Order: sequence, then C-alpha cells, then structure tokens
Amino acid sequence: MTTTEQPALRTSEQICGMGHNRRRIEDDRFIQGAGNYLDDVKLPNMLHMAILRSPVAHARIVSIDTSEAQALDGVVAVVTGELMAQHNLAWMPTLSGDTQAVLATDKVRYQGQEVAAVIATDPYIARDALSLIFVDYDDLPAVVNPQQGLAGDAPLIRDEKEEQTDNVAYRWETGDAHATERAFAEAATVVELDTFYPRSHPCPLEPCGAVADVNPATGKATIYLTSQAPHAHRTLFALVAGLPEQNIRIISPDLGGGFGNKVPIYPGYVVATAASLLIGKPVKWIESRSENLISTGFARDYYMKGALALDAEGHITAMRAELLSDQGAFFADAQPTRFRAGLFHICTGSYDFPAAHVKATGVFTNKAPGGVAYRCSFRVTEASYLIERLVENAANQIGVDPAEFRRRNFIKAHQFPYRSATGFLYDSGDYHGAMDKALEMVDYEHWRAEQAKGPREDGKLIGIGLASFTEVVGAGNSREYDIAGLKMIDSAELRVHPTGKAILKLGVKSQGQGHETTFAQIVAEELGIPASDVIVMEGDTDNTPYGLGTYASRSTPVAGAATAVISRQLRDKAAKLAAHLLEASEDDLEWEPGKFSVKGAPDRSVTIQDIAFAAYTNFPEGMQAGLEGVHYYDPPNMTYPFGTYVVVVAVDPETGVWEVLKMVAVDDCGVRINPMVVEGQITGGLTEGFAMSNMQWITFDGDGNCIGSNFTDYLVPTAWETPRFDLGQTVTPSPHHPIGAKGVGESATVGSPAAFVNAVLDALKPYGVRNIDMPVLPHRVWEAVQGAPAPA
Amino acid sequence: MKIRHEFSVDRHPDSVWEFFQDIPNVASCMPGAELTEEHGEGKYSGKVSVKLGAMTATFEGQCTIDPDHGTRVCQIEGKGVDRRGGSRGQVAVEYSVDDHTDAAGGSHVTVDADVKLSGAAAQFGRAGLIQEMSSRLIDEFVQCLEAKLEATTAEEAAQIQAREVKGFSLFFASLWSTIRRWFGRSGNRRQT
Repeated sequence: MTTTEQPALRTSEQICGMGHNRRRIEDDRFIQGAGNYLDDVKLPNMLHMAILRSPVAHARIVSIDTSEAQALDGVVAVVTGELMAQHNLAWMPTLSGDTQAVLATDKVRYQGQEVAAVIATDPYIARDALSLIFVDYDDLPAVVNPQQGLAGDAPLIRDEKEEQTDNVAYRWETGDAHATERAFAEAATVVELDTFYPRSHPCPLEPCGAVADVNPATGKATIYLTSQAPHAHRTLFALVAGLPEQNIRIISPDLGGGFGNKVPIYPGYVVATAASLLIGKPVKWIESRSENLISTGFARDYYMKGALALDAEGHITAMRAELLSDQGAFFADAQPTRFRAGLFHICTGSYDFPAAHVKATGVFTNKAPGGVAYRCSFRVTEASYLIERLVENAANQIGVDPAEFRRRNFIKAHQFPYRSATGFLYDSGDYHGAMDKALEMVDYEHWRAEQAKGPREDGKLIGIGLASFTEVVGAGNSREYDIAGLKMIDSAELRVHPTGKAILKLGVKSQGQGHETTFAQIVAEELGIPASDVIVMEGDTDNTPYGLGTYASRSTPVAGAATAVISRQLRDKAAKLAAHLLEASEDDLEWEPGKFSVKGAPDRSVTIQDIAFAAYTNFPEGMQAGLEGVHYYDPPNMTYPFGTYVVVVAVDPETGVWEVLKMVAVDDCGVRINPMVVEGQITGGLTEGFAMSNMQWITFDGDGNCIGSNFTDYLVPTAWETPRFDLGQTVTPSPHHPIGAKGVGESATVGSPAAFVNAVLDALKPYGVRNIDMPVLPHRVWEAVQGAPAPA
Repeated sequence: MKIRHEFSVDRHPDSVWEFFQDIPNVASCMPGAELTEEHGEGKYSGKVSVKLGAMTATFEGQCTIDPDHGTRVCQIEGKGVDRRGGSRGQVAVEYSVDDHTDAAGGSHVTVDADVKLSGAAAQFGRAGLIQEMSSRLIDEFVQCLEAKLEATTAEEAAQIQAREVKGFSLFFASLWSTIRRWFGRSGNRRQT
C-alpha cells in the first residue's frame, strides 16, 4: 500500500477532482465581508442576553438580589439559577457523563462561572444591568491545581454530588502493567521525564454564541449556534430539555474558527433557549472575548510522568505514563465514552515495542472545565508530546543521535497494519521515509556540524529538535466510539439535479477547513461533475443528514468517505442509465471522469450531465427516477497520519531568547484531496504549535483568578513572530479509506510543540538541561541555564 | 499580594498614634479614596477609584478599623466591589507604631498590607501591572502619611492630600517601576 508520491491527477482542470489546488470558494464571501456569522443573525423582535459571571473561584452564594436590575428600563427578565431550577434546568449533563451547573444555585466553582443572565431590548442595556445584580458570596478556599485537589485537606468542590467524597473526577488505566513492570526491571537504561502540558485555549477569533428562536405558536425551536456538531447538539438538546426533536432545528452559520472550542454545550446556549421559550421572543447571546477566554473550552492541563525502558542496544522495550489531569470544576471533556483519558494511550507513538501501561487520574479544581481537544484528537497532542520528548531524552541519555535512535525504534513499513502495545491498529505508515525526507530537506548533517563548532560568534547556541509523530484520527467505528451514547458515524447526501449540477449535504461542519471546496472535489473525482457545479451544504439540521460533526480531524476520514461512497453508488446507478441511453450492456461500458462510453467505440458516449437529465426524464422501466442518495459511513478503523518535523533554533543563553532558524515539516496524511488546502491546514497548525511552545500562557493565581483573559496576556502569534515553515510530503494512503485520505487538520498542532521544545533543549545540552515546561519563555530558559554547570 | 512598608518619623510614638486615629485625615492620604459614611464602632463606608489605561474600577465597600491602644497596633479590614467591571477587592492592613530604636523620642511605623483582587481587575497578569498598581497605591498612601506626620502644624498637615495616582501617569509609572525591577534596582519595597 505504500507509495511516496501523490497519485496522478485523474480529472481535468475543468472538473477539478482530487489533487487539484482548487482555490477556496468560501473565501470569496469571507474576504468581501459577506460571511454570515452568528452575530450577523438578526431576527425581528430579537432580545439580547448578557451573563453575570462569578468574580471568584470558589464561594457559596448567600443571596442574589436582582430587583434593581429588573427595574432598569429595557430589561425584560433576569434569570437566576433558582428560576432555571424551577424548570429543572439548573444543571445539565456534560459530554463525559458528569453534570454541570447552567446557572449556579448553591455555590460558584470557578471564576467566570455563569451566575445570572439579563435579557433586555438592547445588548448594552443587558450588560449595564449586570452591574445592578447584587450577589453576596461567602468565599471558600480555592483549589487551583490537581495536586492541591488530591491533598487530604482540600475543600470538596463537588459537594452537590451525593457519592462524591473527594475531588477525583475519574481514575483510568490501560495497557499491561505486569509486562511493563517486568520490562522496566530488566532494562539496561530507564529514561524518565516529568513534564507539564499547560492549560491552553483554542481561542477562535469568533467567540461562542446563540440566537434562540422558540416560536410560541408552533413550539418550533430554531437555534442558531456556534456549533462544530449541530446534529449531536440537536439530539442532546432534545434529551436534556425534553423537547421533541422534530421541533428543534439547529443552524450553525459560518464559524470564525472552532479548534474544539465549539464542541461543548455551554450554559449560555441553554439559558438563551430557555429564555426564548419563556418570553416567546428570539434571544441572542454572544460572549465577549474575555468571557470566551476565561470560561469556555480550555484544553490540556496535563501533568505527565513518563518513562521508557531500553535494552542494551538502545531499543525501547516498554513505556509507562502516569497522568494527573486538571479537569476544572466539571468533567466536560468531549471524548469517546470508553476512554476516560481520551486517546492518550496512543502514547507509544511511532515506535515498535511490546509493553505499555498508562494510568490517568482526573481531578476537579476551581477552574473552568478543561479537557477540550484543542486541535487535537482527544488527548493525542499530550500523548505525542510526551513520547517525542522522552525519545529525545533517551537518545541523549545513551549518547545516540536522536534521528538514529528513532530510526532504530520506528515501526517498519512492512509491519503495517501494526497493533500497538495499547491496542490501536495502525493502518499504514512509512516513518523512515518521512524522517529521511525531513532530514534531507533541513540538511541535518550541516546543522549538526554547525552545532558541533560550539557557540556562534554572537554567543548563541544551535539546537536541532525532531518530532516524529503518529496521530490517530477519524473517530470512529461504532464498536468502540460514541460520545454521550451517540455513535461516531457520519453521513453524506448527494442530489444530482436534472441539469447535472449537484448539492452535497453533510453532517459535519466546517469552521474554516474549506469543506465547501474540498468535498466538492471528492464528488468531482468520483462522478466527473465539475467541482464548481457542486454546492456543499452543512450546519442546518433540518436540511442535512445526521452526523457527529467536525473535530478530531474526522471530517475527511468519516464524512469524506461517506461522500466518496455515495458518489460511487450514484455512479453505479449512472452506469445503468448510461447502458439504457447507449443501448449497450453495462459490462460493455467504460468510465472516465464525467463520461461513460462503449468499449472500443469511444464516440458512443454519454456525459454525466446527459445521464442526470435522463434520471428524471428518460429512465428505464422498473428503475426509480432520480439521481440522489444518502450514505452513512461507519469507519472500519481509525486513520493514522504521521510525519517528522525538524526545528533548528539559536538560543541566547544570556537572555534566554530563542529564534527559529529553520523549520521543516514533512506530513503524510495519505492522499491529499486539495494539496493547497492541506498546506494551509499544516501552516495554521504549526503556527499554533509554535505559539504553545513559545508564548501562550494561561495561569491562575493562588485564589483562582485566571490570568489570561485578554490578548495582552494570552498571546496569539502574528506573521511577525511566526517563523517560516518549509513543507514536504510523503503519501501513504489509508488502506481502508475509500479515497486513501487520512485527515490532517490537527497533525501540525499535535506534532510540532515537541519539535520546538526538543530544539531548545538540544541547544542547552551542554548545560545538562533535561526539561523546560511550555511555554518555553526566555526567563525559563535563562533560569534553567543558571545554576547548571558551565559547559566544558 | 503582600506589601510591607516601614518608615521612621521624628515624633513621639504617642503623637503618631494619635494622628492615626483621625480617620478622615488618614483616609485623605489614600489616592482615589473617599469616606462616605461613618457607622460607629470603627466601621466606615467608602469607595476607592482607580483608573488604569482604558479600565476604571470603583470599589465601593466597607472597612472596619480596630486599634489596640495598648500595643499601638491597628488592624484594618476592608472589602469592596466594582460592579461595572465585576471585580472585587479585599485588603487587610496592619500597622504598628513603635519606639524608634536609633533616635530617642522618634517612632518607627510598619505597615503590612495584604491586597486580594478577584474578577476582571485580577485578570491582567503578564506585565504585572495590577500588582504594580496596588503597590503604587500603598506607596503613595505611605508617602502622604509621612508628609503629614512631618508637617509642623495641624493646618499644614490637613493641606497635604494624596497625589492623584491614576490614568496614564500610573500606567507609565508602573511600567517604569517594572522596567527598573527588571534591571535589578529595587527600592525599599518588598513584595512577596
């Protein structure tokens, strides 16, 4: 199955199937300011909602006085937890089977938690009225990290849960503890690493919001939602609020980024919907930048203790990992039900060894719920970071070049499909090929030689960092994968109109990935209808087939497969129609994109457009009219994109500042539907990976104040800070995916942080520095160098 | 955030202590502060306004002053809420007036403040500006007290008021102070 080149183009520029660098058609409206985002939705008689949030991290609510707010001119209603409780909506289930407060009733559990909401005729009046709500808080001590949460004297955060006696959210383990222990006992070398993957925020440029429009006459609820998973959200709304599902229509308009932030159901959505239901008018809620940054969708916050066992020849024989996860006040990870620590157990990465054991403990703290998979397939980012940092340390510890160490331990191309120590079945890969290409592109030997010369004239140290990640995406098969009981299938509905134009309707939802462009290319590839003749529709649950949505890089692996399969099914019907039109046997027909012809008589042919017309006007007796269908795809396995990233840095040991001299990223995501869009995804992902490793930092002070509520504290890199990335590719198709594609949206964010950190640590090797936690800020580099023995 | 200040005055401790019991006079030394009501038994209502760049916070609240005349140690507990910005502030101050060990008849004043902010005002962290601002407010307060104590007549003392610490002057002063700290020239203030 292994190839190293993108398959040759099968379609003309005009048809523009797979492999063409088709320009993103959605950008036409975005760059003209003609996108339709949530805040653009304006309905007649629409009211506006603002949310009062807790200023403290942990406190009992003594009283809430809303009388002054209610008296303000323009205020229609003030909603508190007490009112929500009367409708049994003060609490809601999370995607991980926990419960979460919609509006606080008993106490607040993190700074920024929703306490009350004002609905007014004007958004400014709604905000002004917040300052007229008087809440009397009785402060409680705050727990700001999982270590504190586990301490014997820690205050119980979830005291409302009857059986909860401590702050443990979950304990989970997987792998073979016994075999792993034995391998460690027999190891020639044990390599250890304690590291922390800090809390980070997906930070889409558009924050979250909702416009809820419950029609009092019909009972129909139309809810505009910043949702990456509109169908899943509809079903959950139905289950939670007890609304009949046929009366709920979720419309997810253009989304200004998501990155996982728009997967959870937030209290604001629920309150806006309840308010619209009670008042009988549409209610809009959209959060501010600070609200988005302090209260929604945090990711990571993982304390990781990892170890590798090596034999005398430098082969890895086992890995163990012990995790401590800061879940925040509610366990709200959006992840497959079976796996409490997401897919962290992919942590054996790209390496071939027989034993691994993972133990994870999730802890409640007085922070906003964390665990959102920020551009990440359910904790694979943390997993990839740990193994790639460990491998680098292992190579250094036994004195082997890190590239050579990887080469020695990689799963080999002939071993695929490969069963990993924690049970994943890797579909395909050529790790040696991807690394060799990256090393060649970066000129590895040259930089090692430069490094060997010692500090440069300006005193800066050269460091070279590698990361050879393997991702696991495309959740997932229905045997193993569900979220809150909903199986992770996805769908595509394709309707070819009589004139041969088509509409493709999907259950997934683009947040900037370019679905309108690339999914049309799959149809073009399979049916020969020009991509420009195919409209792609997503996000409206009344008008698209059911699906679990876009996150975890699953759109191409699941909905992309569904699109290919339904296109092929329509092509099969088209063949029958062509046989009818050409008065030939189906077996005597030949297909080339866009056209059936009779074998040996190429001028006897019909185009797909002719066939589409015939499907409605001239179909054979006994055949159902029309050329349309829907396919639900249940993937047989996950897909496993991979790659090698190499970063060269110059570190100034005097100031701790580091700069990227060169960065090469070789990605293998299987067959590329649109290489330009793939490169755009990789460039964006690398930028986010660079940001996490270099500058992004959300902290909490001892009282649980979130330091990072704004863009002076939470830094988003611009073109000025972002280094240049040189991109390369190898192509190893997925053997089980209809078009061999694997999904790519998250690879670069998953793989790159370890490469940047490894590069800085490689530069500091003369000082014996083994770990600096992200973000690798100058002061941390400087501190790590201080006190270290001066290099020889 | 804990801030400590110490200073000495060439006046007898009893006289300094007596000065401190004149609450309105002392309050006039706190930049942006205003006493709005006296409730008796050491309880007062008031507000403190602070402006930092685009952000204005007006903390309205109460404080309780509990002097121990025997030991010349006073505890002040205050807490306030800035409703518009959704911030809350709490401050606990302990000051003591002791005999000066070096100068006979002089006094040594120690002020320990513990400032706790929560909500929006506490969320600006990276540059440490909020910490710097709190510290500057206490700085200004103490300098004003020193000046009042050094005044020779009551009239002169009454005329000494807190200098305005707000707007961009504070912003730049804070920034300057931060920069100075980076280069290691710290003053006599200690922060923990």
